[in-house]
Amino acid sequence: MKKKDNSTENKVDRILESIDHIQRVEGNPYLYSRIRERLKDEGDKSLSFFSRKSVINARLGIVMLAILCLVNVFTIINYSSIDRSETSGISSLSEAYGWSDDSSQGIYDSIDFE
Amino acid sequence: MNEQQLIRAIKSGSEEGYRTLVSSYQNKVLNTCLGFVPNIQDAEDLCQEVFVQVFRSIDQFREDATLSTWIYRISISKCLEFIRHKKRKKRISFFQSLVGLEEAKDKIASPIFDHPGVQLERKEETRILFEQINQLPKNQKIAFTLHKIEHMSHKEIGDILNTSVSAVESLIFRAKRRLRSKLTKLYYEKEG
Repeated sequence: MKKKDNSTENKVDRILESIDHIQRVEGNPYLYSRIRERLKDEGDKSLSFFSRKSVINARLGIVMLAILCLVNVFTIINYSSIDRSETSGISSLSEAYGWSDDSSQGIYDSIDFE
Repeated sequence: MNEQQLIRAIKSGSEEGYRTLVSSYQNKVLNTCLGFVPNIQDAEDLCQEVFVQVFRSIDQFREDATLSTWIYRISISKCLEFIRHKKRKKRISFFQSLVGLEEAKDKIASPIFDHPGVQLERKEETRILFEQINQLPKNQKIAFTLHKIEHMSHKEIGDILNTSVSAVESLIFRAKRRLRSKLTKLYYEKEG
């Protein structure tokens, strides 16, 4: 009985020790390319580095669009103020020569064609 | 490049930084995965999963733990998730086989023990040990595996498990005691 106990104990010890004899395993040299491919394949556009670039490009596009809109608004505001000042110049000129809009007569009405 | 520079580089979208991280941690991750899932093919797949997860959640990494602790936590959770999934699949297949589905019977078979770091003459003993480790309670399994496979200190294991050094010592002690008693019982049953 004691002999059996010893033999079992030895076997159990050997099994428990087996974990100490495991050697370290070297990783797959192609792991990085596999991960890269997988990220690309998953189509997780917002996650891949390439798509990060595309996100950056999209952001850049939005900023450019906003700048363009601002330039447009600025131009429109400026144009309308120029337009108004030009119109006021023209109306004062027309008043000076008696072609004012206020009169019911047009420019041709003052000319006698007969 | 130190750890903080590496994290900053990856967060800012540097592919080179990510490549450096993968090459510096891949052996640790692979060996840890093999410690929980002793099949090279499964472990390599899990290794990929870990690094994909690292990539996806690097922005959420708050640096309250070291990078290596964080990566080990991800590795362990991926492995445990994989084991749970396999067990669930096995259970379903078992019930399917009871109903009479033939193809389900093939799925019940345990995954092949294929750890390339195990010497041939010790393969059977290691396989038996891994089978028993797999039946340990979760924290005992993690503490024992990290201590024996990754040769981690009790402090490092404590950081990963978010517990004290004395708690880790107790976990490892209980794991060893439980393994010994299970294996002894197994041999007594075998030899009658």
